[in-house]
Amino acid sequence: MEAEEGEVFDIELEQSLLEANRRLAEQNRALLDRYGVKAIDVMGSVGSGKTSLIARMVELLRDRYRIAYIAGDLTTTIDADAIARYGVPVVQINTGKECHLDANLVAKALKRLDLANTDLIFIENVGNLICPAEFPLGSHQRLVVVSITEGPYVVVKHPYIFMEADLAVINKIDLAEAMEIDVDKLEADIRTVNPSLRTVRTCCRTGEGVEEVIKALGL
Amino acid sequence: MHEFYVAKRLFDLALRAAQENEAERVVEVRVSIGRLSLVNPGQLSFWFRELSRGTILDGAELSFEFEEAEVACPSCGYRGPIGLEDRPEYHLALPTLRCPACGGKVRVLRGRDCFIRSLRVLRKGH
Repeated sequence: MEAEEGEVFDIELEQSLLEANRRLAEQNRALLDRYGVKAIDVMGSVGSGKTSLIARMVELLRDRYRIAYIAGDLTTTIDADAIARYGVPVVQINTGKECHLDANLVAKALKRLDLANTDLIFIENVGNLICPAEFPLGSHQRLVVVSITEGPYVVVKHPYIFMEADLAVINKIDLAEAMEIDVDKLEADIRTVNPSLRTVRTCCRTGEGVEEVIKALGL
Repeated sequence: MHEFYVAKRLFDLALRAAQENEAERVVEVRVSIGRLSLVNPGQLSFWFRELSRGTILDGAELSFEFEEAEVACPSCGYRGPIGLEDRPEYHLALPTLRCPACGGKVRVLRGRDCFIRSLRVLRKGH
């Protein structure tokens, strides 16, 4: 039918605004699976101990797995350097101004790794408890690290990241008394948001609890 | 912060659809935001307006509807709205993956995504 001049009409679209990232995440997963590589996305605030946790895990696992590390960092190579000293391949993604890693950035990083000679990849997300929740990367597991110094309300203020996570780590457990933080209450908050989410308490400075994290990740 | 990314996608989809349909200009863009999505409508509108300047989308009204979160429980078969945990100290009720019926962990069926639903356009005269 010919439209009349100046006609107003509706165009139905029903298209997702987030699916482009999801599709790329699925492609990343397929690529990882093809090479038999397991990838773990480590999320958490700035200063929660993501890099320290990864460093501890790399230290304990490097004889058993061929490990690689992808570091999302706005401007520095501090984290990448910290892990590179364990002799594992490191890809640094300087996001510049972005608040999270996305599947496209990870796809580019994966191209720079020798996947055929890799068993395990730790992907360290940008320090942020909000945006990474909305952007799956294609990893097999998502781990969220919170620390005692983030205060008693860190979980209830950021429920979405705990909904997306497969494992929660409460780090800097040695500071609980000094900070007057009730760790049981933090764990209860995590269970309120996500009743089946496993929580492990760690002190990455000393390495306490890290073996339990490794076990919880099935490594 | 990532609203720019979402706004760009919204802008691209809306512009393409409008051009394919020979629109002279776009009057309204309707967007649905899931309650569990982290997209903020105010920030999305800002970026959409900025991107639209000087295009056939310039001046289009961005209207929002919110998709409620729906969950299903594999343990007891519950299917319905997501559970909300409300405490006096909360500004907003806390969404929870705890099943409102049995306390098990639910699966999210709807409410995570963000959609462009439709456009209202003015078609070119002949």
